[in-house]
Amino acid sequence: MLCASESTSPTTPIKPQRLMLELQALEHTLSGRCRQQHDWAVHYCSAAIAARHDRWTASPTRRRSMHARATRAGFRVTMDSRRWAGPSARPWRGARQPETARSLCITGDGSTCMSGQEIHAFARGGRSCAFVFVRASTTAPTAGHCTASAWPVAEQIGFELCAGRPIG
Amino acid sequence: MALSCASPGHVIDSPADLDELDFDEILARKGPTMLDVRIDREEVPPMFQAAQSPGLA
Repeated sequence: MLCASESTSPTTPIKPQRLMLELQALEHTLSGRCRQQHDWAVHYCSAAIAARHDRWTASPTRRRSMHARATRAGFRVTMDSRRWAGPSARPWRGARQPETARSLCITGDGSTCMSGQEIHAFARGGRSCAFVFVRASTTAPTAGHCTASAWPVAEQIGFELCAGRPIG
Repeated sequence: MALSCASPGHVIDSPADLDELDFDEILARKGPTMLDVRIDREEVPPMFQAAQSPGLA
């Protein structure tokens, strides 16, 4: 359920609820990956679609209609936990969205190395996509999944690649 | 990280930083843009809240 106080909170650091609501207000394709970011996005962005159409109590048929309308309006949410998020943010062949549709990929600091590969591919292809790294750093959702931020590791790998040095 | 990818990047610490971003320009740019958003780590994701509810533990 949307919490009004948190979704409009002016506090620093920014509340994830507010971030998700700000992002969904843009007309673009959303994509999410990673456990925690996936949870935030699927909850608040989906809820925002419902709120936008004012159908909290809609029947399943009406909800499907609502989702179809949101899709036709150019707003699509794809949530791929533990998969490539960048490509899923891009419009695919045969989709209703034009190739020029704006894409935004929500990811986390637990999958920074994976995202780094995607960003390099997007840069090489000159494809537009905004990667939003929702960083909670040490807040690993499950033991053994990611116990610390992968950000420093990815940063180091990136700089060593740029410098042409062997990684190790 | 953004420098290593030769892409523009923005660090967002506060709602004001988010408001200052020009998303039209970012999303229209050829190539990726990285937004490093530092969220409040005290916030618990909604699905974890549900899992912590009585009767679901």
